[in-house]
Amino acid sequence: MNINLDINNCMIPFEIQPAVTLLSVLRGAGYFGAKFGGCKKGECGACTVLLDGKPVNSCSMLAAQAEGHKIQTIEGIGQHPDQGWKKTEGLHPLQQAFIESGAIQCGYCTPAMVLSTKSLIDKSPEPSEEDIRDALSGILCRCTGYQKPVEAVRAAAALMNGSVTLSEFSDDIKANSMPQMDLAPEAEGFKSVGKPDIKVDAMKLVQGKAAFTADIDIKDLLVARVLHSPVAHARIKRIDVEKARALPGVHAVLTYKDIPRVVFTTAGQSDPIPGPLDAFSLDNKVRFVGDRVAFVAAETAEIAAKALGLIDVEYEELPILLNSEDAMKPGAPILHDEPEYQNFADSDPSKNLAAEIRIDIGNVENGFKEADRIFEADYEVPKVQQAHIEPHVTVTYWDSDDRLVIRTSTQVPFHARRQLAPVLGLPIKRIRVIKPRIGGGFGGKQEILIEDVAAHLTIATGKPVVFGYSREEEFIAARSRHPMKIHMKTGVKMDGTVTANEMHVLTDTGAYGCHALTVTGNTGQKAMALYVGDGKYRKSPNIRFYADIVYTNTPPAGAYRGYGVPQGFWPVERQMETIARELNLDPIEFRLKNALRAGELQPFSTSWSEGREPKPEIVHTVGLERCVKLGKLAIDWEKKFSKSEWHTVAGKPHLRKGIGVAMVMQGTAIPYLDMGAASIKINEDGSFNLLIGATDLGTGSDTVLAQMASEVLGVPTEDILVYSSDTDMTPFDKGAYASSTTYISGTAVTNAAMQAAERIKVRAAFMLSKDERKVTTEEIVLRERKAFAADGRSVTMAEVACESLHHANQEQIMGTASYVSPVAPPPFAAQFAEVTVDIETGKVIVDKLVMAVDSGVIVNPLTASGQIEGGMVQALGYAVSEEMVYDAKGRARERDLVDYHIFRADEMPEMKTIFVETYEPSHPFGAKAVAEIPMDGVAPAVGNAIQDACGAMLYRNPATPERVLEAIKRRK
Amino acid sequence: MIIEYHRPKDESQALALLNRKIPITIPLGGGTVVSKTSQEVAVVDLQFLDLNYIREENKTIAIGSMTTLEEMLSYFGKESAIGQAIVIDAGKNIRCMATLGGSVVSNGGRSALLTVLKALGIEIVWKPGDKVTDIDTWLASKDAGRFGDFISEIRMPKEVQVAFESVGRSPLDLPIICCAVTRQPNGSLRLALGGFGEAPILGYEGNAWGDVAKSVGGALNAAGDEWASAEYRVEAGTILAKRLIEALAEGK
Repeated sequence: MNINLDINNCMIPFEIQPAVTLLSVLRGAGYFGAKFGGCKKGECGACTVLLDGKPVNSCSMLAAQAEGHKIQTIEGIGQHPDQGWKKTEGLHPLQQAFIESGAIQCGYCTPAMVLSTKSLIDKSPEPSEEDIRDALSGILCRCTGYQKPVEAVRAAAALMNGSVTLSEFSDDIKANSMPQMDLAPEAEGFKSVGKPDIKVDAMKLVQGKAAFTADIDIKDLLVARVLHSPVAHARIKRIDVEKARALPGVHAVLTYKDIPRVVFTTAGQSDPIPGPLDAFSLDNKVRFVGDRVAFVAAETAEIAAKALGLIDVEYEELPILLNSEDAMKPGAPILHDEPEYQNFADSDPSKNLAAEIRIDIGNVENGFKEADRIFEADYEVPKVQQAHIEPHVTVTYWDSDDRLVIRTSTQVPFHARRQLAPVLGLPIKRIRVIKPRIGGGFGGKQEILIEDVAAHLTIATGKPVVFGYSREEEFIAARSRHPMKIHMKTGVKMDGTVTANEMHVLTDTGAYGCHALTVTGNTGQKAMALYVGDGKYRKSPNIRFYADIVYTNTPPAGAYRGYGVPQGFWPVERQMETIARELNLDPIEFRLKNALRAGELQPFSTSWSEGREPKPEIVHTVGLERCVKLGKLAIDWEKKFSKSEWHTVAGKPHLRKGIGVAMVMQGTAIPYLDMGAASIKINEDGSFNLLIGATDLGTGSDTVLAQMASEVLGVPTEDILVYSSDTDMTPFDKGAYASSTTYISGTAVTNAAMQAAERIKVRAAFMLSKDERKVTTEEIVLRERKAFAADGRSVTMAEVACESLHHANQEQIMGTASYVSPVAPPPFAAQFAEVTVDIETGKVIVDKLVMAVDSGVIVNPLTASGQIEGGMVQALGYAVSEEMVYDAKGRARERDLVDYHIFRADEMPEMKTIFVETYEPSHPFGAKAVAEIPMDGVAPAVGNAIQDACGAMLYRNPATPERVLEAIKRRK
Repeated sequence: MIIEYHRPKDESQALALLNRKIPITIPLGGGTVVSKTSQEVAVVDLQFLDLNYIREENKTIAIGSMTTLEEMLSYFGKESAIGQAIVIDAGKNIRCMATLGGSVVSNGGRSALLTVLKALGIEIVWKPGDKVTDIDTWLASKDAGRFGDFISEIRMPKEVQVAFESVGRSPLDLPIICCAVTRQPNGSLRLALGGFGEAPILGYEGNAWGDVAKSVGGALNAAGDEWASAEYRVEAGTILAKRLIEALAEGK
């Protein structure tokens, strides 16, 4: 049928099929600002456009429905203010406010947020916070926690309604978007580091430019689909694909019979992979509902879907293993009986054992003997999903040199290249991985999850192929946080000294052992390292950490922000709370008494290092006490904790208020292993190209790396042009994981910039010596885009560049450096939570979250606080609402973002972020990690607050109403 | 999969299309659900039929079936029982698309709005002929489907008190258990329970306020599913019912 659509005041004719959605038509016409979250029910809202001025989901609306209405997309809102000789009206105030407030992280939902709130402001020039949150309620954001977007809209509205002037605008935004800062004096002299510079990619993201993997138009692009297993455990007895292959428009159907059988792992990690190799692109056995059975490439998604329905599969069903406690029992179904299975360390597929950990530090049994009381309890943490709004998506094609290009939304482009090469039968040099912007990852894209699907199909057809997961596929066939069952045993003296601490973990890795060893190792290495004990136990703590990581017929777990540590801090912090209350100790003093302190050994550093040789590490900076002090003030702890009158609600006898705390630590990178590299070169105007293999998955790492380069080179951050990451163009980097980019890649960038700076100084000294006196390189200082001699004379960076590139003794001023760290300095935090519990129904409302964090020197307080706010909200889901559940046949309960409820903008608790800076001596600017630690403390702090409110002892998260009510009854 | 799209200009055109047996032809409201169907269907978009209105008529509020949930929210307000339920069911974007008629047809037992509509005892008006079906009859039989007609209007009582409360995992999560109660001027109660199953259920109807708790408990006895046990729903549902009735008694 033919329709005419009024898009941004242009009438455009389209010839379409009736089933085509408005989103498909828009993206097909190049309006890439409308994104797709893979939803069936329009729940994510990333595809928002305005229809007659109202926000609607273009993925849930037929294109034909939109005829006769005015459609507005992000492309019609604003544009770059300076386009060479052509001046434009510039960005819309909302777009400018989103940029300046730090409201953009991955940017995938940013166009939707801008459009939806434009609709609000057009109608209500003076919106309340409630109005703004309501306007954002149709758009799910997994990155920001909504706090900064709300602030951006408030500020933009104020500018538009005249409450603030243009000159007051930026200050107004900063004043309301910045976190509370407790600054490290050592960092006072920095010019760029520590400043709330705007994100280097914000301009393109706020305009909805074609920045993401799927935002590309390639001729003859085929669409891939995967046939997923409907059963949890079976051999494929027979598979007939002839009808599917015969369907017009189908270009390839692949089964395990058609491609080489190469064992690998989807876990994107450094070589050698610290885990078993137990997966195939396609196998003759399926091991979970959602496992791969066949791949299809067709001319349209509809044809591909139809082809899947024509594949005839006969399954020989095998006994199912769903409960991790049954995995190692005699007679349990064995998931991995394939001869190609490659063990790592203690894995043993004949026992369904993917990995095993046995760590004893000190003498645990003696520690228990020395205790006055022993506390033991069992805890459980659930399987949860990363739920990045951009689903996994990959585009593959042969380039003109017959090299395979994999354009993919990945956190690990270099690992992807290395690990895919044998799977595809190509040498590494014939693969190029390009990472465009990533619409959120949170560890889910540290997996080489779907790249092989598209690549196999491109090899089979010779044509470009796009493959993107639907939201349902994200739930049934992507990765998740490892669920664990944990037994804790803690010995304590009556004065509160911990004498020994023991954790036994049973981890369910699902059908494949992705990150099995390393995630669970981290559970112990971080969560069990925080409380070493006091007195003599500080020098010789007694800690035991044993873990079995087993296979089951459920979707595989993998990397998820926090990487095992949130699983560990739920039991540790619930245990600490129980002990404090049982022994009538102040829960904060009890924790601090036993917590690790500066100058002490990270106890696990002598026993564990991701499956490699451990080396002792001293922890030099611990800001935990200061975090506690400022956090307590912010949440008004003294007026609430143990004050009975505060715990009740006037006129509502069924409500109880509670307050709780949890203390946590993370790591910063993986010592002696993960390496990052950077390359930097000067341009004629004194700007610099910074090439990095590091992958910014929305965290703002490109920006903080640019800030570090700018600090060294004495130019503003806007003069650093960042390009990341492309395996052909940028130096190696291990990728975005383990909270390592600021620390590892940042040090590499700093070192590369120092090399360039050194050459600039040499040349500047030479140039300045021409006039009056001999100027030495040592006296040159780089600042304000100039190189200054000690007498105040200067040459500009552009003059130095031109001199070096064109005029004399020509050279390209550049630097290249890499860095691997011998240490992993831990960040620390105190997490506070305030809740209201309905003691008659078990319903929990989290009213307030305060997190005070020691992440060393904060390179960019806007982006860093965005990490904390967004992380706290993800962790809030872990505390109360998020959980993946399977029925008796292994079928998922959660298949969309309705059942898997992540928080909306209009139901958020109040949140506050405080940075307590310490100066970490092992980093050039004193920084430690910030990205993962907000995941660790919210759930236990909420659990502890619930206990404070009503005495309910929760051993399992999330704190669902039924679990809370049961716990209240147990107390009675 | 949608194989035909039609946008009739009047009722008779719409009915002519809907009365075709081949292809299967169904009405299209906001499209939020139908646009993702895998079945081969033709759709009839009702947006030209002037079914977007809210009118107060004597003792009734009449709402056109193409009225969006956002328009209903503006009319009733966020603090109202209907408003609270709409906000739980959908964020802004879906509210701007989804229609009341479409919600009555497609929502299930976990819908907060459908639970409130059930407690209100709404009447569903169908074209052709302005035939009226009450909500109980519709929810009991909707699996059987209706051929050749479409909802033109929803009618609800104007002079009733309504109260609603929901328990979910977060403030705006779909309910695990929710309860809506209406009180007629003569004091009679109608109580609906939702958060599970294919459709909300009637928990109590009558004047004997003292019987409500027992009735609610009985109604929820078999309401266990993968989201909550029946025992929990009995306990929490009874509490919600008690609270709401007390609130209505106090005129809140």
